[in-house]
Amino acid sequence: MSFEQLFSSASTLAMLGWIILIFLPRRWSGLNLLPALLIPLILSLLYSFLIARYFFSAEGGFDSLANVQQLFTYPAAALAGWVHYLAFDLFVGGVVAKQADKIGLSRLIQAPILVLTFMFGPFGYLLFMLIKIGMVRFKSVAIDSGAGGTS
Amino acid sequence: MKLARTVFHDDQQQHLNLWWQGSLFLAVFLAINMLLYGVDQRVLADELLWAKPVKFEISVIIHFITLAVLASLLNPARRSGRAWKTMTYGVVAAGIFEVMYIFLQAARVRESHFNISTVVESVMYGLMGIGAVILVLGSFFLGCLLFQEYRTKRNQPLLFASAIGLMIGSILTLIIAGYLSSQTDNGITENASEALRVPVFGWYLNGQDLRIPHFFATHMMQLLPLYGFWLSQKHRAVDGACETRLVWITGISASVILALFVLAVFSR
Repeated sequence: MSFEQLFSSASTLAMLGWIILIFLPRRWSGLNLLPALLIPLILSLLYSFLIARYFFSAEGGFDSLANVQQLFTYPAAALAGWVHYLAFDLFVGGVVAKQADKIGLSRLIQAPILVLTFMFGPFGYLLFMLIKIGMVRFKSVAIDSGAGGTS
Repeated sequence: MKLARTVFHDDQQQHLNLWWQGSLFLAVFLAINMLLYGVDQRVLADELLWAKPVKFEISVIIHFITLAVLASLLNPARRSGRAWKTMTYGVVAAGIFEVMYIFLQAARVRESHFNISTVVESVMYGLMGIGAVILVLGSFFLGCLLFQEYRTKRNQPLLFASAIGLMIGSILTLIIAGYLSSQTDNGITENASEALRVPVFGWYLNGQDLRIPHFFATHMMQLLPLYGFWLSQKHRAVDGACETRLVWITGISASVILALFVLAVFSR
């Protein structure tokens, strides 16, 4: 299988995970395991193979920006980097979805957060964490300020 | 003032309702946006790049909170009925979509409104128009529900003022925003650069700026309910005189807004 084919397969697999996470119901625990565990594990396996087989034969490294740039000029290293993104972003998406369900965040609000985590990983995660803090804080403020009154 | 539990929560649920969740989402966007506004001095269409998303985020948050507060005046059956639930989903989805697209376009240093320069941007501008209509329909629909509520239990100035504020404000917003969106640009002529501008809002005071009547039409939805709230705090029952007074104030406000609109249309 060529690097291009591996890239395409890994991206499709990750996309399947995101579709399940964003659009499909959460009531089937088996289905939830796909984006939260199984797909990130498959991607992690692919990443491990790429790193073990190609990483140390590529020039460059992580000690300077120039070296990182040089490292990613190698197709195998760039592919490994991309699979790394796919695996970790999806894993984080799974964690976000699980926590969001736990705090009662609507699927309508979860959807844009998950889309942003898919597209821009840390930005989506930051958004979720700030919303989570707000949800918890706001809930207690609403109750303390007398929102327990009748309508 | 003791706020009703139903302002924040749906019936029999502990977590915040969708209005507040949507507001929280937009408030986080606003916080990130304010940071960008402070550090990124790039300019787009005569104003700071991040000013427009900030204004829209604030405006949609105010809209969501208004509807959350006023929907709590509905009786539980209407509030948890399928019609209002569906409208809630539609309005929150539309508001989030509008803000996210405006934010995305600012990040791309591209105009969000009146931008039909690519197929995607043209489609997105059309979708923004649909989103804006859904936002306004939501407030009009709530106004109708509140008016039905008012007819069954009179003597509530807040209920009456909220109902007419939402209905008239929505109609005026739809007229003005509808006309605005039918234009190919914001319509401010070249010599507007010499006109006085309102700080923060960026409005031109040359009589041509449609954003001024648009702003007041939209915020009638907050101002009239606030007036109704003030009346209810004064323990004034909605007797004939009070009802007439509210109708007069609504009529005068609507006339002023329409006059500003007509002035802007004819001085272009």
